[in-house]
Amino acid sequence: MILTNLRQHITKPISIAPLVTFRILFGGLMCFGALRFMWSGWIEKLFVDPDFFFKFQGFEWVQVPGPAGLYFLYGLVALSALGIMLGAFCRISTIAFFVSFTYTELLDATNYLNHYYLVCLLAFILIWLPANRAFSLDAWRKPNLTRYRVPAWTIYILLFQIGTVYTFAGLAKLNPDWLFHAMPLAVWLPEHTNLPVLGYFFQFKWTAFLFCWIGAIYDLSVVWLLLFRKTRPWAYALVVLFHALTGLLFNIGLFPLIMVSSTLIFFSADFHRKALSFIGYREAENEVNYEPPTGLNHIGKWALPLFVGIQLLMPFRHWLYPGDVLWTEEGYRFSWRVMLVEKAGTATFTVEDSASSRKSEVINGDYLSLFQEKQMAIQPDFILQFAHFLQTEYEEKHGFKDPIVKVEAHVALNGRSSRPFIDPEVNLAQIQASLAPKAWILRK
Amino acid sequence: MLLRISTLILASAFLLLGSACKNDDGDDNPITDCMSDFDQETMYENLVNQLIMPSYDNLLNQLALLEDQLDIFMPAPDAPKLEALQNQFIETWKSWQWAAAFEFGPAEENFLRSSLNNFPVDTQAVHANIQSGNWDFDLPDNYDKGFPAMDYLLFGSAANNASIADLFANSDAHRDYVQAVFQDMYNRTLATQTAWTDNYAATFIANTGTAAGTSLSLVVNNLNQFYEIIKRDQIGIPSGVVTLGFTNPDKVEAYYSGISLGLCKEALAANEAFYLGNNQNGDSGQGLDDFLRHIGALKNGQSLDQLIQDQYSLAKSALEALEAPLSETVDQNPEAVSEAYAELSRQVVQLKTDLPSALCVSITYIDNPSDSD
Repeated sequence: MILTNLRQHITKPISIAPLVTFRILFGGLMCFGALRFMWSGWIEKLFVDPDFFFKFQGFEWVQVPGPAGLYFLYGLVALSALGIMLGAFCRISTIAFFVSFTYTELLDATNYLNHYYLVCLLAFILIWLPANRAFSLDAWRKPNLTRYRVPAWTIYILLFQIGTVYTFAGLAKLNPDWLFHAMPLAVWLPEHTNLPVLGYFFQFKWTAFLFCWIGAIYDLSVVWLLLFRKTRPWAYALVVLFHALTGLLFNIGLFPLIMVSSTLIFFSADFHRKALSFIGYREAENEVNYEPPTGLNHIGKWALPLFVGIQLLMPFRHWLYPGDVLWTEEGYRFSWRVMLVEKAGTATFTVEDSASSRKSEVINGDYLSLFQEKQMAIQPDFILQFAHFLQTEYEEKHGFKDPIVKVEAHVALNGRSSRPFIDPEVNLAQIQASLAPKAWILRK
Repeated sequence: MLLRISTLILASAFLLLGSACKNDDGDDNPITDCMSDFDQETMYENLVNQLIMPSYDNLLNQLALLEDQLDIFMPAPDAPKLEALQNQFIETWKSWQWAAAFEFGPAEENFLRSSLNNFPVDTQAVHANIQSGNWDFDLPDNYDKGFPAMDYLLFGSAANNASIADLFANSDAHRDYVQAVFQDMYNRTLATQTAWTDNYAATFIANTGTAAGTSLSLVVNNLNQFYEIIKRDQIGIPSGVVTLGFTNPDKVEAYYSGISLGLCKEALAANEAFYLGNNQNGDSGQGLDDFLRHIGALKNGQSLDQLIQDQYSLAKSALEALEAPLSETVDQNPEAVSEAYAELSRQVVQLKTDLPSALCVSITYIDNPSDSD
């Protein structure tokens, strides 16, 4: 009964207009983002200069191409994003964008950012949506592709994805450091006391508390406020204000723009029709509704709930690990934990030859950029990856037999003094990388 | 429906809260308050007027005295004049150690540290420069200049002082090169000192706050970078601790004059003074130690400042236990050198992780190369 209702609800035909807006803004932003990345010299800084790269588990095979290959890759990201914006060759463009963009994110896990992960997810979703069926080059080339009515789920899935970001970001803020110590905002806000007007307030601790609590309430409620017509304009004003503020205060690049443009999806079809009409969008009457191909319909029956289920469970997987996720970082990524920690650490590795008494301390900077070193020192899976790299390095370059790799690592979290992070007696060379709880992390 | 979802979310929120609360730290490692009323300007005034500017002044004076000795030696080189020149050179190099930590602002613009003290010297490059009569001291990655190059030429370019004096007496090229090396060092030091006097001192003192680029972040980061040079370059690399235990006696700071250990002691004393806000005579002023005490920074229930000061003492004693020259001690008494390195290392976490964390300086001297979240 409920299922049938739900099914009717999500397959009922509605206007494609919100999807068209989303496609244009998303494609345009992503194209700009890729060009900005190349223009800022980040290809050289992040991928050409370092010799070693950290990987996500399961994606160790991802290779970093040479400079020409990297520019080709980012060129492909920009070009396919442009294709998405214009609605040109949409199937190819969306797949090419998803693959190339995701590949760039897999190159070095050091650069993991939640909003890049969001882009990967939105790109993946876009592959399956009929976003090019109106007001696109595809529809202009082949007018019989044009559809102005699409099943509601094609828009609901985007609502859902944006909704998870806010809701889980809000839930993650419900931790004692954020609520009762205003951490890490109490560290970050005073850095901006030189801002006009606003800066004056950042010298007070209550400002940080106010920001923390308002931030948490905002994240937890904004999705609901956006869903209802009455509260929507106010909620959207909050969205713009909130992201303008975070964009001003923190070095978060395109994230504010992505969220401000994506949340438009919550607005009604009428709103989108009107907005798009300024650039020439018209919906013809008496057109046929878009029906997904039967194959897609079949897959969708289980793929859609599966996707939704995974998205809902991923942020809770840290419950499978003992201890505080902010400390261990087990189950930290892909969970919309944004701006929650100010973390710094030092990690000193020693490599010992089993066959002789030879041993050596490692100068991390010989292999890692400063940014990689900083990120490694606070993330156990990176520490393990680097230890395994050292194991191979000392076997091959120095003829060590079964090298013993140990680390002295100390981490300071959210304004506290440091504590030992990794068991200094454990031979990391013998630890397999896995998703199982890491017994060698020293927990509280 | 909506009500049920909201209830569910609220319920899970409190669950989350509950599960997180059990992990709250005790009071041994409290979170420090970043909005402290510690008077940063007074600290910077003290650092500038008692330590930084006097160190540059002193270095410049020592360089002028060195120039006097060069002027005496160069026209008619002989062994006694060389010895006088060498003695002054040693004093000048020691005075550099007190100015070495401030590699930001004017010093950074003038590449002061790499120009004055890139070590170990690349003797082949020095010879090539002398032979060709061409050199470029503007390249920060070259090891053919500064104190280490003069160390080699004045102490190690021939078997003994008499033959070194002979070498200089008979080679215009050698004399020209030493003069050029000296002139480059002098010019850069003068430019740095002038910039501080002209306006950088005022800029530095007024640049309060905790953000990247503020004086607090410059002080904390440069204290650490200089400490790393002491630990790794002055002791670690020669001792072989980073090269499989194979010692590198030729990579000490002052291989030819054999004063590496003395320089290292000066450097550590200077680093400690930078932390304490002391001047070169040991007179105390406002420094990071006072800042830590003001905010009551604790580590495992103990005063963080006390821990740092104790560790400076231990490291200094470990260096005192070593015999000069360091290039021989690394092979003859490797345990003592290892112990000194270990004592130096024990300070790193306190200086590099605990101190910035307590002072709320986010470690952004490591620039985030792109965006962050």
